[in-house]
Amino acid sequence: MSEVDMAVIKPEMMKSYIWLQTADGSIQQVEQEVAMFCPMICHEVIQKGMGSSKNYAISLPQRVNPAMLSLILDYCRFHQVPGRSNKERKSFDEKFIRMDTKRLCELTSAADSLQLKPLVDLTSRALARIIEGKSPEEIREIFHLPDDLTEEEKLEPLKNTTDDPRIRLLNRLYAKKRKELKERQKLKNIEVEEERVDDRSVDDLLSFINGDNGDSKGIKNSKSKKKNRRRKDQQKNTSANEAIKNHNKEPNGLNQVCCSAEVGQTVWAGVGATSNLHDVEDDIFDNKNELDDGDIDDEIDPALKEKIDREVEDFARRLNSDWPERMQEILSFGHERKPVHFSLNGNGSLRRYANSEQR
Amino acid sequence: MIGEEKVRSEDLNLCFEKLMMVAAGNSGGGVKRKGAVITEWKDIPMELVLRIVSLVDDRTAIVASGVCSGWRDAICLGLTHLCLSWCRKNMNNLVLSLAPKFTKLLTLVLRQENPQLEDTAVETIAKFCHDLQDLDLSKSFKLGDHSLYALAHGCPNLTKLNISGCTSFSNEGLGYLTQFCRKLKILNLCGCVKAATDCALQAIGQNCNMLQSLNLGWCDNVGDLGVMSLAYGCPDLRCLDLCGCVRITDDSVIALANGCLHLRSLGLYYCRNITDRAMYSLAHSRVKNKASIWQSMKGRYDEEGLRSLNISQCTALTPSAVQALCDTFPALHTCSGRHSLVMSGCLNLTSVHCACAVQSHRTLNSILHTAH
Repeated sequence: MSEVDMAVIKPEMMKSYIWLQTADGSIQQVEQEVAMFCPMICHEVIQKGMGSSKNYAISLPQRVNPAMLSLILDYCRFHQVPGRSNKERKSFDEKFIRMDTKRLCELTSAADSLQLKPLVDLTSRALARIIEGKSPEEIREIFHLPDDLTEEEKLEPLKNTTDDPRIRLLNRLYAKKRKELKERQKLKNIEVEEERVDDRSVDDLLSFINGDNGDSKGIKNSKSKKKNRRRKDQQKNTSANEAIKNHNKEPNGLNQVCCSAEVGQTVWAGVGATSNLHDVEDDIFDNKNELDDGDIDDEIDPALKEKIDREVEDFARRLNSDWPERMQEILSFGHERKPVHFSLNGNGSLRRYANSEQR
Repeated sequence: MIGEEKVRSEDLNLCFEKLMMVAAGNSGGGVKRKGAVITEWKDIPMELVLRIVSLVDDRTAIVASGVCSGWRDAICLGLTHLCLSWCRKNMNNLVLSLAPKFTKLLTLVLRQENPQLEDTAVETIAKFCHDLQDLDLSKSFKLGDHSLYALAHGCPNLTKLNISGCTSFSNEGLGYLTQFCRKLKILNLCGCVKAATDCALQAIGQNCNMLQSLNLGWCDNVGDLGVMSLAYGCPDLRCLDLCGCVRITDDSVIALANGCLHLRSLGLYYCRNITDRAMYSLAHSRVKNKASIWQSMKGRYDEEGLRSLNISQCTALTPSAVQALCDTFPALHTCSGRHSLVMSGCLNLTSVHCACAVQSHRTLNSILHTAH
């Protein structure tokens, strides 16, 4: 060993070692700073003066076999170095605990007997993650446990724990979002009754757009939904045309729009106020889109469609209506929505803005 | 001690061997079992099983208790905290089957989204879980006084009890409970209109002298008599919520000011009868008792006194009284960071400010002046 050579050549650079003996009788020496990371070994060395030579090797608890000892020493060797960042330590830990369950159990047990709390916590958490959500049968299989409970004992609590909290939570979340959407829509419907003036022009525009496309249903508007979200974050001026173009690709939505336009459901910039909601919703819905499950999408479709419908309508109306008219609307509904990129300094600035907008 | 009556002979054998293993622990060898099937599990001692189970959610913990007899015994002996609020349909049955097993429970949360719990479940809890200290039965609409009688006899160590929303409890049941559960420190009776009457409060004042926190929100049967009994019977009271107790008047607050010197949080939302007299009494009691408090709590003086006061909708109050109060209690704040003096709906109290709000206002003014 190079250390031994160095010990001969330069005594002052010699590392000190601690001698450890495992239950099977084998003795090994370990660098002092590594071994002292374990509280139990530390205690033995300091309080009892053991471990300084082969004859006085510290006998380790029975639960620590040589394989586990080497694992533990690897852990100690890494963590006892003070200069490591938290991120480094975390990634080491994550790689370290990647082992089969049996070894993980042994390691937990061994670390516990050496009172190495950080490692006990790490391995316990790993084991906890393993058993989470599993059935008793699966847990028995993983840990090789005996199947020694009576049938009554096994069945009784199980039949009552069939309420799965996670699925119910997810369902509740969706239901809540849908309800919120509907409520907001109703709220706007009540307020926007005087908007019927613009209906016809909307119809004209939309039927024009609709006439270009066929009536194919079932194409999930996931991509255009995502595009809409991005568009919203930009200037609404520029997004208006693009949104209309996007909606050309989804005749589904436009059919809805026509129907809803007839009902008088024109809402302006509902998107602004509900953009937060939409973003959050999109997070949920994006996950679902990844699943690419048509059945789930059908549940969410109507609510989403209504939102997109409103977007389409408002963009269409904005292209049609006059600026002062719209300003009136903005001012009357301004308290509800986020005031997006409008400067209300005075007539002059408004005028300028209007000119740039009307193409 | 695994001395359960229902242990059969084969189970006894297993228990014995396990006991040896737990006892052997670090030093000796574990008992060698027949076949390789068992060798792995002896690598996790029971205390580690408990540690792992403490890291998982309650449902998994319950599942784990049904894995094998070793785990069952470890968990039944070691589990102290359990929450079953995630149950939607079967909470009652679950409690009926788990209470006899988890006899060492200290904390049990049975708050329900939809009412499921019935008296039989609570009776079972009272029968088996005698160490219970913290019980949350909120929103159990179906429970009746039988539960309270059972708890009185079965769980005398209760220190924290939440029966908010249990509208079927009566004041007799509650009074009976207080005679036995004298160690109660935190009691939540929010919405228990039938239970929280002056009669019940008198019983509480008489029996539960260690009470520190009481929530009487929306109990409109509460009157001055009850609160005064409470004030004189529970000197350690720190948090009292009388929100919606419309019948109480200044006399209640004066009694609290004189009797409960450690009062930190007081809620008087919607108590329309409260006038300046109450405010001045609170302020004066602090000044009056300054000497005695100083003796006992040197250095902590400034932290004592009201920290949180809700006088929303108490429209009879005037700014001078409330300002005096705010000045007397330095922990009451109206500034945005630590808003603890809540005066919503009191339009004439907008001029009341805590010291730090005034300070920042002054600073702002000086900045503005220099800017010009």
